[in-house]
Amino acid sequence: MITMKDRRLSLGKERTLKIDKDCFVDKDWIEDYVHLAIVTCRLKGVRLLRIQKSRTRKGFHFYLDIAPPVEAELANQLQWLLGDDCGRVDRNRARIRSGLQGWNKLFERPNARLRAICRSVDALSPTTQ
Amino acid sequence: MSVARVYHMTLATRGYSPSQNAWSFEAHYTAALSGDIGDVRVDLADFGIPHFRGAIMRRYGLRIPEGRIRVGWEREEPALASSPDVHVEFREMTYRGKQAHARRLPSEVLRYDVEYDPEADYDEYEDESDESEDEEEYDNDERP
Repeated sequence: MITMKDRRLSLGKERTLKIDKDCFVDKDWIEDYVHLAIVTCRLKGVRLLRIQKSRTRKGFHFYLDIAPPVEAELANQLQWLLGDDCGRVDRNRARIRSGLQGWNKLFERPNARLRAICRSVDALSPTTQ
Repeated sequence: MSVARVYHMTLATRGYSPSQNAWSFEAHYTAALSGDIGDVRVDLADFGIPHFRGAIMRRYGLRIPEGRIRVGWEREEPALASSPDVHVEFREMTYRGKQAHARRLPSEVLRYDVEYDPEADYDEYEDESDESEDEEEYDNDERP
């Protein structure tokens, strides 16, 4: 018999964190956000490879490529730590617990342009470990 | 030959359960198709919406106007090849307070080709008064 826990374990690992920020902010705030993301990921033993951003009607979407890939629960936790929309975090948690493979939903307009705002993130990593 | 991509489409509708809890029903469609992204999105939505309405009618006996169906698209991903199979995962979401609970329902595999007419099992339920309404865009802010 397959238990709910087994279903959770059978979910694939996530290589990309998706963050929904319904707020427009200045460029220097986003630069600080990049540093925050690096530190937050490091806290959980994850390295940031690239950050991409798209503009939405209400703010921004961020796509954070990470290594190594992480379990769904940790990915959702990282997204919450990085300020993802709380309603989205809650729905994603419910989807994870129900065993949905594509739980990490983030909807984009067809013409959405993704712009890399940070590559080679290691170069920007804070020196303190 | 155009590039094949994996499309992730979510159709959802919401309301209240008999116990007055907020409730939503969502279907997650995954398909590997080739063609212009805009055209494929339109075609896949045209394919999925009647199927989604039929699924709700079969499960709950509810007629959902097209205007109350939210359509969401994730970023497309590269696919090795296109396939006529469309995988559908259903979830019933209930909300107690601010907390969401998802219930898994049996998944389906549909055939995405000209022979398949997802409206075939739905025609008897068609509500023509809603035909002029467009589907509402799904914008990640899907609170009940």
